[in-house]
Amino acid sequence: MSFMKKKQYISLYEASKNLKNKKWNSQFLVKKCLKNIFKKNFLLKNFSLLNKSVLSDAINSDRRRSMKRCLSPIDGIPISIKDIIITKNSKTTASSNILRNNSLTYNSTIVNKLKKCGAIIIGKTNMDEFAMGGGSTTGIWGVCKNSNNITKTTGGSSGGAANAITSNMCLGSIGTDTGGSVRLPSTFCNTVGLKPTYGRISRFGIIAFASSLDHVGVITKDVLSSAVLLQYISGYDSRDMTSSARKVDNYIVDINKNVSGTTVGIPIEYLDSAMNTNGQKTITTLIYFLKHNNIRIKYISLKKTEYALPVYYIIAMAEAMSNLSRYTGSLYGEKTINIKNNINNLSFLRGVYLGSEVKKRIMIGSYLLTSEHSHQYYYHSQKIRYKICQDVKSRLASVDFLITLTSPILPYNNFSQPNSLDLYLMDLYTVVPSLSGLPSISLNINNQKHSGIQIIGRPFCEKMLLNFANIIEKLL
Amino acid sequence: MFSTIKNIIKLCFLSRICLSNKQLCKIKIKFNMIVNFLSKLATFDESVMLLTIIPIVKNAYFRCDKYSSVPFSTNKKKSKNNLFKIPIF
Repeated sequence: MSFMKKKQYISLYEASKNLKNKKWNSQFLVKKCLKNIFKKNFLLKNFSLLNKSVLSDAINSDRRRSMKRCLSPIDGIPISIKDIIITKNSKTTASSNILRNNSLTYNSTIVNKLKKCGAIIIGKTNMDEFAMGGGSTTGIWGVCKNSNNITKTTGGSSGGAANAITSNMCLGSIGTDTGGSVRLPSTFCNTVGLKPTYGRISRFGIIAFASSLDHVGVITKDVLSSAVLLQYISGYDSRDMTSSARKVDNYIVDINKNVSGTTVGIPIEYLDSAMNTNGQKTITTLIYFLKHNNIRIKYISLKKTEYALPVYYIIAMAEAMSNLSRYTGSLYGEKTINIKNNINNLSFLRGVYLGSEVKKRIMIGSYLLTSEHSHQYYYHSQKIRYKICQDVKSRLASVDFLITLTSPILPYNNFSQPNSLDLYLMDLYTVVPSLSGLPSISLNINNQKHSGIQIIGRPFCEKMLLNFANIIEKLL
Repeated sequence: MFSTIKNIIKLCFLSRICLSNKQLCKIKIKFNMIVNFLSKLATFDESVMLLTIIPIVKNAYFRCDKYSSVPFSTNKKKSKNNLFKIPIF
């Protein structure tokens, strides 16, 4: 029995192989992607900005290949980046009105690394305003629509990035993940979303939402492509103080290694009645497959995870309030006109240009950080965060991986959006790896109508995680 | 708990955000709902927290020892004093 939908699209790994064998060239790939963008983007709203020099970059890449000076396996492959990643002399809006004319003079580390490898940045993908949201609906570039069913949501905040892969507009996407922003859209759009360990990929040049929770992630069509893309963007960066100096493993070498004998932990807290029948079906079938492939299953308890969601939102909102206080119109953001009455003008500007979700989160962040409430909420949540990290890491000492569902619900309808609290509950399973900085990957199981699974690994063990995920992807 | 418009206006001032009357009323309802949800933390038993202080200091010490260019692991007494002199960032 096989769940996996037959491959309708070419993956980044296959494209790389075909470029190497000279079956295709970069111009062909870029033109195909551009054709899809011009055809579908009007409806799907996946891209917010396109790179002007994309064709000349493709010509240069082909020239390099013909002269046998290829820079890397991803040389000449069209890749999109989220609109929160800064690129030199082009707009980076974070889907916010306050940054609609924001153009900076430097490149983020990821963009530099991609350019160094010869990858072609095709454009910037649509997202929620400042990555705050769960459906790619709050941005200024319009509501993202799922290409599998346009009435359904793509998830968020990297909805445009995941949907661009599904609709063949690019072969790889770079997104950011604060509480599940790469993994949730990947599940909803039938792609693979990988969030590596905190510090594995540099965050330099990424507009900050919550600095201690922000991760850079990759979205591709399969696990092999994720491994290829991760290989070239991870590594130490002296300009990011949270970047890790650990050596980057070779993720591609042992990706097909046998995984029989591996122990997998399933948290019993996530198998409760709150999980819908679809989710229960997914987990039951998964357990059946794992057992039949000599993979041991251990039921474990993560007692403190019930506090994970409030802890995540308290830390995220408090940090967002601090990070977004710079958008006042003096250095960043739309410029203020009346200098005499600066405070009133500044408040007016922020009131007009920031979206309602962002304003709400900033105000809650202010409330949580006031001297009366900071001990009750912020400091308390930092302590619980530490306990959650310890709890998860101690469980990972006895098992190799943890497996949970990615989302407790199926993609909801774009026209009947749930209230904000229900949207927050969507992150139920994804916030634990974000709080503890652990690597996790989201795989899709098509037969179960977009209910995906999430595999969580040990810190800096992306190689093991990708190997296991690759085998699971083949099995299902 | 803040439930009055007056408190929300205070928060608007703190956040440097100007809101219309209509927006204030809308946000007031959502605020109470979200802050109620976040108050779930109050049920967490704080007594277990006392244990966490020691590992944090211990970890900080080992991190300094591992990554600092100054090799202070040779003299244990000296190294403990040095812990607070080396800037950790």
